[in-house]
Amino acid sequence: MSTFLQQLVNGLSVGSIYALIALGYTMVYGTLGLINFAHGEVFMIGCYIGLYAAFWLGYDALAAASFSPMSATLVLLLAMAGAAIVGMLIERLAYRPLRGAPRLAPLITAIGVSLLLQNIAVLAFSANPRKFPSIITEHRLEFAGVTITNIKIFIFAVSILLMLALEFFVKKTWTGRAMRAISFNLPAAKLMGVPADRVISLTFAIGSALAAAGGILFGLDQTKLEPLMGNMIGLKAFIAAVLGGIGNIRGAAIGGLLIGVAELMTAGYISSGYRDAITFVILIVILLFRPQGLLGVVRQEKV
Amino acid sequence: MTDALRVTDLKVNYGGIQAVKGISLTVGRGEIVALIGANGAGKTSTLKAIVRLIASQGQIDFFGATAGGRATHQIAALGVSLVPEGRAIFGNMSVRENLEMGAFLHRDALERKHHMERVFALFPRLAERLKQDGNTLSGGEQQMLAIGRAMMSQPKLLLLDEPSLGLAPKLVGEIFAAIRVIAADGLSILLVEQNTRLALKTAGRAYVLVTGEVALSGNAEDLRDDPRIQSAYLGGDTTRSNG
Repeated sequence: MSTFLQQLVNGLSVGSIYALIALGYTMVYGTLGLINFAHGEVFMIGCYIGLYAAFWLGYDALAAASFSPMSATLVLLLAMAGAAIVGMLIERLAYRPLRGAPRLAPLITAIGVSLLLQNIAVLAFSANPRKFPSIITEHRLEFAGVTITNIKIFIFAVSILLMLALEFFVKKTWTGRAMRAISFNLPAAKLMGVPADRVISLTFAIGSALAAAGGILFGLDQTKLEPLMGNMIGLKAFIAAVLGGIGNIRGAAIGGLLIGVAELMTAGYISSGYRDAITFVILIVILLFRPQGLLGVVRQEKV
Repeated sequence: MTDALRVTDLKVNYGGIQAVKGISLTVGRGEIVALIGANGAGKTSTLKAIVRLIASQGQIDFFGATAGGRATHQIAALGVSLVPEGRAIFGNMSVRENLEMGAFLHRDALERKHHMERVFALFPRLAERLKQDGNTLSGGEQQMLAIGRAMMSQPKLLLLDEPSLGLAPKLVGEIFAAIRVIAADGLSILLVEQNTRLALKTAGRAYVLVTGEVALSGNAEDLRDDPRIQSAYLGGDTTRSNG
C-alpha cells in the first residue's frame, strides 16, 4: 500500500510536468492544426534560462539555502517570459510564412526547428549535462510510510495553479474566447474581428511559458539538464496530449497526470526499465481503440 | 453620400482558373442588393474577396474607405459583416458565447446586452437556446444564430451568403422576414441567393452573375419580368433550375 501511495505521489508530480508541456502541444494544435515538434526544445530552453537566471540572481551552490523564495519565483517568471519570446519567434519566423501551405510543410519545418534548436543549444550551453541549481531547499515529510518532499508539493501546486489560470483565461477572457473561436473556425473568427495572427502568436507565447514552467519544475525534480532533454520529455508530453484528445486543454492536463502515474506505477511494480516503454504502450493502445483521445471528439473537416 | 460598398473590376483567381472576371457593383446606403446566379457563377468568391478572406485584384471601398491593405478583421472593424455560406457557427460554444463573439469588437457590456435583446426580438428561438452548444442547433436555428451573431457586431453593411440554403420553406420565410426587418432599420445589405424568386422579391436592385461576369443588372422588379431571367432562373417555361 505504501508503495502504491509513494508511486502515486511521485507520479502526480512528474505527470503535472508532462501536463504543463502537453498544454502547449494541444493549444497550438487546436489553433493551427500543427504539431509543434519544437515544443520540447522550448521546454529545454526554458530550463536553461532558469539555470542562467538563478546564477544571474546570485545563486551560490555553496549557500543554496540562502536563495530566497522571492528569487526562486523570479527564476520561474524569467524562464516563462524568455520561453514565451522564443515561442513567438518560432511562430513568426518558421510557421507564419507557411500559413496556408500544405500541412506537410509546417510539420517538416517543425522537425527542422526542433533539430536546429537542439544544435544551437549544444553550441550555446555545451553538450555536457549541467546541474540545475537547488533554488528551493528540499525538506522531507513522512506520512504513513510515504515520503513527500516540499519540492514535489511545490511542483504539483504550481502546475495545478497554472492549469486553472489557463482554464480561466480560455473560458472567461475575450482573448481566450478568440482562441477557441480560431480553433473551431479560423475564417469565421476573422469575420468577428479577431486579429488571428496576434492571437496565434499569443497562443505560442502562453504554451511556451507553460513549457518553461514545466522546465523549471523538471529541473527542481531531476536536477540534471542537457540540450537533448527536450526529446524524450517532449515526446511524452505529446503522447499525453494525444491521450487526452489533442486540441483539448483539460484532456492534456488529464493525459499528463495519467502518464506520469502510469510511468511511476510501472517503475514501482514491474521494473523501472519499463518506465519509458509504458508511455508508448499507452500511445499504441489509445491510437488503436480511441484515436480521438479520452476527451476528444471526432471532428468533421473544417470548411 | 458615398456608397456602402463599391466594387470595381474585381478579379479572383484559383490556381489557373478565373472564378471572378472583373465585376463591378455597388450597394447604396440602406439598399438591399441581390447577387444572383447559378452554382459556380462566382457569387461566394465575390463575397469572400470583398472581406478579404481570399486574395483578389480590383478596388473595394466601404463607405468611401478603401479595403486595400486591410485584413479581414480590420474590415470587420469598418462595420462590415459577412454571414458565410454554411453559417460557420462556433459549434464548441454556446449560443450566448456565439453571440458574444459577434460583439468581439464591441465590449461594452450594457450595449452588448441591448443588442442581444434586439437579436432575441428578431429570433425569439435563440433566447430559448442560449445555453445550448452551437453544433446541437438545427440548420434553421444555426442560420438565425449566424445572422444574430453578425448583428451583434453592429454592422453598417451586411453581406449574406445563401441564407436560405438547405432550409425548409417555413424557415426560409422566417429568415427573410427578419432580413426585411433588419433592412428597415437602414442597414445596407448585399444578398447572395440561389433562390432567385425570393432574392428579387427582397432586393431593390440585383446583379446577375454568369461564369464570373455580370451578365445583367438593374431593378429587381424589371429583372423579374425580364424574359431571360424568367427562362434561366425563374422557371418561366420548361426549365426550373431553382425553386
